[in-house]
Amino acid sequence: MDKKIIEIVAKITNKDEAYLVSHTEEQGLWDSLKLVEMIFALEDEFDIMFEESEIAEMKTINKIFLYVSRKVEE
Amino acid sequence: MKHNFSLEGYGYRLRPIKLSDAQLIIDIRLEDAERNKYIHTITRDVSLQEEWLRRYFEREGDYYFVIENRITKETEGLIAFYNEDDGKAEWGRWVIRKGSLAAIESVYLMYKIAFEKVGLKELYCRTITNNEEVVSFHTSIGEKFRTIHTNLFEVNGTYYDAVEQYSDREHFEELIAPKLEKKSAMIYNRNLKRAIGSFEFHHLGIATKGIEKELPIYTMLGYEKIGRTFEDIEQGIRGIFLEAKGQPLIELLENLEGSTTLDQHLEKNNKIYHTAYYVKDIERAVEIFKDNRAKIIFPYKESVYFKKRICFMMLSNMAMIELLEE
Repeated sequence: MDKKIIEIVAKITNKDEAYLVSHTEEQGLWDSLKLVEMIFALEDEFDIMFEESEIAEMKTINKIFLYVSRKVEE
Repeated sequence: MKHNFSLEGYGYRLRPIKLSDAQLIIDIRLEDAERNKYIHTITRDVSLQEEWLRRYFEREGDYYFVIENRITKETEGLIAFYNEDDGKAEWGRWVIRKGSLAAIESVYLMYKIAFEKVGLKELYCRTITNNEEVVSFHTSIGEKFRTIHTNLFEVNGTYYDAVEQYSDREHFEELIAPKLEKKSAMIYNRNLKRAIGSFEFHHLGIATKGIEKELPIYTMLGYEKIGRTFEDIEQGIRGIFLEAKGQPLIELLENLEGSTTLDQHLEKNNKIYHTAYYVKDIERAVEIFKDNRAKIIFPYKESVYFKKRICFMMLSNMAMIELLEE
């Protein structure tokens, strides 16, 4: 799952996967336009739907990992 | 200034700000401390905010809007353009509630109002260079870079450089609008699904002068019958479903003897009688469509075929939809 998430984020943000994997706590990797694209891609890929409160917290890769895995387990 | 400009988009609308929005402005602007490091501190005092708004109402060339979600009716942000001069204006005062997806469409609608209703020829924005996410957003949507202003903004005693980005009307229409419009539609569809659980195309209802008469035409197109014909006396129709690989499911319909249900469509040779959608929460779906000017044609009833509730509604462009409970 994490690998797929990194793939999606890398494709949309145009950043290297290896960089993302080693910067999972870094903020500022995407703007709100790219975040919307990521949300669509993640929701489609994992057949989930995020709450507004979760979207508001998606500022790092680790947060994305957290919310995707929570949603998938629901 | 006091203005009457508003615009409905897909999922959001812009409306003019009112004096009664003073508390709203405070709530939205103070909601996110992290975001606020690059904007001027505002007071929590509603009366002071109301004073600011009174001065704003007197100020020419300043257009302030509230961003509302068309589905939930919730307020999700603020946006403005101001300092109008020689057909150009600066845009900003742009604040979106945490977690809201209103950003993209709010910018789209603001640009449309500025160019199509106010008649401006250019909008520009000045963003603190350190505010990288916002600078990146402006670049991502296609706004053009003009210049860097040194020490342009002072926030809480610190001076910051600002990057100026802009778009004229032609550039907006050719490059920015298509991108934003597409994303806005996607966000609306997502918001709709969230509101009603699911919203999936199911079938097209086709008006025929006779099912048996027109069936060979659809057979030629690759369609095969599913099950048997059924009659819905309440609706005054007889129907049968057809399927074909890679094509939409269709429901051929004919009037029952003595019924005139399909007559208006048949007289105009209008084959598409309705488009049907599966929805999880049919009652919420009906409310949302009614809020968007749709009218109920046939109220809730149990479908003869699906044994679930259905509801027929006419949209404001005279297209009919059938909502089919999952």
